[in-house]
Amino acid sequence: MKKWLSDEIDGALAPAKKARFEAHLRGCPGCRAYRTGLARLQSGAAPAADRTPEYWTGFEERLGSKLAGIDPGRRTGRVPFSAGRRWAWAAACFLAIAAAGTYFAVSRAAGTAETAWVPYDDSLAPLIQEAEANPEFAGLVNREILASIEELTPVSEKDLAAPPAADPLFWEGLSEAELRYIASELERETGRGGPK
Amino acid sequence: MKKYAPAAVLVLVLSLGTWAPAQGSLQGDPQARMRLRENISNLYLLRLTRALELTEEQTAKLYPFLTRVEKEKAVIQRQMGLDLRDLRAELAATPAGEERILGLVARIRGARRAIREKDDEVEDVLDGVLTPVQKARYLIFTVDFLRSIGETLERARDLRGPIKRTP
Repeated sequence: MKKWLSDEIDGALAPAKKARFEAHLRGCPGCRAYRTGLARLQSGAAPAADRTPEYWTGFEERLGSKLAGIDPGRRTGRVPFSAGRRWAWAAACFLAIAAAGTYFAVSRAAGTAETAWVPYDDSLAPLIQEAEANPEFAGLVNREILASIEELTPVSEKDLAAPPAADPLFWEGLSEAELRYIASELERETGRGGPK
Repeated sequence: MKKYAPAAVLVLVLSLGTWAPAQGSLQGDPQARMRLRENISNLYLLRLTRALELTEEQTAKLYPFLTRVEKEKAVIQRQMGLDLRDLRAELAATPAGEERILGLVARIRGARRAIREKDDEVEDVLDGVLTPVQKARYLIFTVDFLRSIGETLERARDLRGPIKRTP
């Protein structure tokens, strides 16, 4: 559900899932609060319209030329920049560029990456609560969890599991009817005419 | 009082007579089970010899040996079944006899081990007679056969529904 929330905020939620998602949201205060938080975060971190990547590329140049134009008298004057002042300006420029770069990176990341700051228990508790009350939703959650497990763990090879019939005790757990069925199936498969 | 004694004995005999088969039917008739297991063993041997494509010489060496081992296994298996039945009965009794239970558990475990040792014995003999390809076929055949038993059982249970057993 957290991924669906994130996808929905990004406008990437599949239409087939949207109706189910909206239905869940109506009944789940936890998810509604989480969604509001996400929306607020995204609107707060969105870059201003005039702060395009090109803007930041030319930022240093414009800053340099502005600094040069602040006090032409001082630039062309008789007292040139001392070495210390030049270093101070260079450091200021560097800090400004680093700040701009950080801001740009953070604002991009907020729009695309999955948020991981919601504690695991908090995000799972409402799901479990709803699954307990709604069997249909429980089935959906179950399928999602099983699909995730299947995705994360490779399907075990049949050959890795020992057949239960290899254990002598296995045969003692069978009823007479089951033994008869096994025998008749073996007869049939072996080509000896089927059940007698 | 004396004139009621024969009637009381008759009632006792009749009730014991109906109780004993009822206990036995929990696991079915042991003789019938034995016959079915023998039938399954024979089919196993038949399919094994087909799968391995034994030569005449190999068949002459192996078939009597395999038949003998399967019969020995069947005897052990039958005794294990009887011990299991006794163990169930002992557990159901109040109070359960701990000493008898321990004895039965030891016998069942011993039987299980003995059957596995018989299988090891078969593998040792096959090792000396079969070609490498036949050894590989034996291994694959055994796994496939045992797995097919499990699958057949699943089908049987799907057809008949769950079977209730005593704990």
